[in-house]
Amino acid sequence: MRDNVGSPDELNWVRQAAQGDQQAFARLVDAYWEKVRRWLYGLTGKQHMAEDVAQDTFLKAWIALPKLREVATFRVWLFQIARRCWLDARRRSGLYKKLPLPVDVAGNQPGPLSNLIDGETEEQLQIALAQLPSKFRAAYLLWTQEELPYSEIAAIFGVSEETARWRVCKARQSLVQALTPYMQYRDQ
Amino acid sequence: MKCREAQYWLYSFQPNAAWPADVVGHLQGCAECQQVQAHLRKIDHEVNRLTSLPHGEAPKEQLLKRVALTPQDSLPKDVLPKTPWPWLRYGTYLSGAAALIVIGWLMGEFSKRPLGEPIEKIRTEFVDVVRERIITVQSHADRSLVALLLKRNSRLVQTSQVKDRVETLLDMADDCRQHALTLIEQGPRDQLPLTIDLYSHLLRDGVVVQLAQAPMEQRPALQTAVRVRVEKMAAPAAAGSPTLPRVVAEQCDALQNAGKATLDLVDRLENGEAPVKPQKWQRVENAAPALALVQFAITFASEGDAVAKADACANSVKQLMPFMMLYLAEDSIQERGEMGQQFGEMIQFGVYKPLEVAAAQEPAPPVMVEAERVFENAGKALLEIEKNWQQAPDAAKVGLERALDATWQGWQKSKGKGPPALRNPLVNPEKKTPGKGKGSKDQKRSGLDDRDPSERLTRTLQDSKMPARHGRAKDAVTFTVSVSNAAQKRGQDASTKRR
Repeated sequence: MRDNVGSPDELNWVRQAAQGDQQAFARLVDAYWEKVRRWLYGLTGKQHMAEDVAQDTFLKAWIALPKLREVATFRVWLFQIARRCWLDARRRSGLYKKLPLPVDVAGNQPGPLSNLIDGETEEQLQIALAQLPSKFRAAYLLWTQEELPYSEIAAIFGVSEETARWRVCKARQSLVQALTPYMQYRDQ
Repeated sequence: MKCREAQYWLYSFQPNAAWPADVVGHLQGCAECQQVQAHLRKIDHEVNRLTSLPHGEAPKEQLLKRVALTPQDSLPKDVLPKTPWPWLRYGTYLSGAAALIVIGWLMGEFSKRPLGEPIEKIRTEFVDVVRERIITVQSHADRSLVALLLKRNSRLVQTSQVKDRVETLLDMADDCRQHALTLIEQGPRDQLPLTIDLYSHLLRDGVVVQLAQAPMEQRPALQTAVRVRVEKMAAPAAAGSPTLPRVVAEQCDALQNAGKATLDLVDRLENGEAPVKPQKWQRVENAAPALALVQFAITFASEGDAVAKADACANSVKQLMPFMMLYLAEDSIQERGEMGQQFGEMIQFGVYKPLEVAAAQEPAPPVMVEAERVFENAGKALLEIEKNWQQAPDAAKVGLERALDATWQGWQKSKGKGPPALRNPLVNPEKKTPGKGKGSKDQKRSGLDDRDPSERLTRTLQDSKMPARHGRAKDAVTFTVSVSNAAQKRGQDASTKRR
């Protein structure tokens, strides 16, 4: 589990970026671009849309940085902006239908487990993930991709920690329920 | 620790989090939880893999160029919470709060209890509500199966011929099979193994045992009839069914194999091999309603000893009671009158009738003591229906009334012939509560004012030395007395006002 507060370097970059230092902000972009983009990709299911929304997110963060009071909460604050930008983008594009992730995604770290799961299981996973309610999916992706603690997930969504935990729990239960027959088949 | 508690940790927390020692211990010893953990790990890994794309630098560079051109001093409105008219939002909150206060006040006014209502009743109602909430929530499909099995049981208890009993048990097995097929096709599938198990038991312990117990001259015709029906049930599913996950396909096979195994048993019976012995059911707390109904049917059909039959049937009735009380009190159930009647008939013919038969045979003292115990337990069931009937809203009383009426008939018949220790206080007119009056309107509706089972049973339970484990029945007694007192007091208040 990651620490709640960023590293000293990161805190310095946030302070410097808040004073208009573009180099410091570029370092923050380096540190957080992939996390934000990956989360948005999990939510939208579209690579280009995820990148566009990620750009919007960082641009708004850059504009609003001088108003950030607690530099230690930068990560939560950034994901809050990302969430708002995602909701706006979804509203604008009318993209309410849930899209599964594309099948031909190449993994960064193909491990032995990924070899065990065949195409059918992967397809089912994509469908199951896309069918999760967006609130559950958003919380679950933050929890599993970024390993954010429930306190931070709760702060990003403006809910209690217990609600955040419940959303993650329900998301995982739904995924297990949907995929257990296929997993068991693979186990044989 | 139970799997459910361990899985709370599995689903909610990262594997590297500090888990309690008992959770870790459970996981080490539980294959099912280990499997869930392995599946969760695979799913998390696969989700991370799917969302990790090889990313180019172009969007980032584009972003940094835009950053260089964008000043920080102006803040776009959509980053901050949108509050165009703050007074409007506060006004909405205040209006909502005011509306809630008014609704609360109105509800309080309309639901005021009459003065003098005993606190005992409120407490008992609360206890009832809490107790009823522990019943397993049933899906709509499960409820349909329970309704069907209840109907079949009410028919079974009134049959006198082996042929009719076998027919009814086959009908019940077919109900379970159809239900299992529906679950396979449409889900939810969590009750599927239980349903297939019930189907299998009904065929083996119900139908085949009946065949084995049938008189020799009736057997060939019965075997032919059973074979025809079971062959139909054991036939493979129609072609063109969708490909099923392996676990579900296994359940399909189990369903089909149960029918084939029954046919084998029928063959062996024809060849004169050893007859099948009925299974002794292990008593469990909080059995599923469908299981309790199947246990009732099999025991009723196969048990030869009258007291043992009454005892086992009374136990099934006890298991069914919370579900039935909840079910009969629901407004949405159209056929609850019939279902109440059927439930009452199960008690009448499954419990009281065998007791009546046992008492008529003038059994040995130990058997009589056992019969007394069963009679007392069955009396508590009657008392429980009565108690729920008194608490139920008017619209929900019809099913409970019919259950009471049907049960009452069995009780009435067996009381004169029943065990002496219970017989005397029930028929002794001096035991009637003095000054009871004509009874309340509700009592008149069910025709209970002149026979009043609760009052008599109350006295029975009070007179008999109950051990501490019968605390729940004592609560019921307290409740009944307090309601009677309250009804009397309300009657007195009303007459005072009229004057």
